[in-house]
Amino acid sequence: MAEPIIQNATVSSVQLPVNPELSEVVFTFTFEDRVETMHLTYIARAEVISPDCGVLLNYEDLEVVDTSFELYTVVNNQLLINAPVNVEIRID
Amino acid sequence: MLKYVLISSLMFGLVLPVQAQDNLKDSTRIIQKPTGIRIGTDLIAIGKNFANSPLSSWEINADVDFGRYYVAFDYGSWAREEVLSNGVYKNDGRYVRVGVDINFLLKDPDRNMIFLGFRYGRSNFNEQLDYQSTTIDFGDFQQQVANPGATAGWGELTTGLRVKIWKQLWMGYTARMKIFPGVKNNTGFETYEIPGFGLTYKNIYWGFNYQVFWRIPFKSVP
Repeated sequence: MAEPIIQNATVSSVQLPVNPELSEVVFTFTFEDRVETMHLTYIARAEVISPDCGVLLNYEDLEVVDTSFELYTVVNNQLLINAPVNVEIRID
Repeated sequence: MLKYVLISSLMFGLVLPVQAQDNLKDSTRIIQKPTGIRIGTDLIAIGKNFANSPLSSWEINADVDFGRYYVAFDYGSWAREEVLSNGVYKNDGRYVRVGVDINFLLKDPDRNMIFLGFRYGRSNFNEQLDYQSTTIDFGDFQQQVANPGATAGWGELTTGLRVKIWKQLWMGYTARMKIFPGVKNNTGFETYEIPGFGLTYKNIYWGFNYQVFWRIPFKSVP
């Protein structure tokens, strides 16, 4: 079981990490009265910027392959630092 | 400097057809039987092997005359090993270019050339990237990714000179404006450099060859 990323907090958005060596991740959201999961896939694609700047990783093709949330939208399938929302989840 | 040579060659190409309009039946303007093949190499590509360059390359050039039109063929090898700030990039490939040059020096007795032309280039290559990175949540990691069997194609607009130096020995240069690169089979990572073209993210790339040729005549030139 992985360490919790956020605990005992009331939030409207969360920034979740993805592992560059993998291509999928399952996040578990534990609420007061229930537990929900979201299974995401993505591609970490390396790009050489220049000899001095080196290699940059682009995270592309974000997809929700399975989730217990009833209402969700993939707003932006490219993961960027300081990016706007990637996945919007609506909770009752 | 290259820009001025190109502009002057382009202007030369625009002026000559106007001057020649009063001589429409000029036999130098029609397609004729070939009289010889020129085979040569690019001295700059070879010179890079001796300089302290991460690029190792060679190139063979050939053209056959059909009157003022020259069918040109190039075959080359290109391998680079570039040290990056967080890794090493390597590529290795072979490329061909096929096209036509149009000579605008029509009545030179030695058949010296000032030409404009075009090429289609195609490259088959392998590339590999070894790199290290650090993430806040997952720490340091190393990865090796590759694009084995990648292919690429592009177009070129060319201009240059060919000058007869001695007997069948010719020298010249070719300046190239390389355009519209397209890469296939690069699922491992974003292609950084296409052998024969150059850096992929530059949609227009300039190339320059300084060439020496030996001409093998098919028959004596009238």
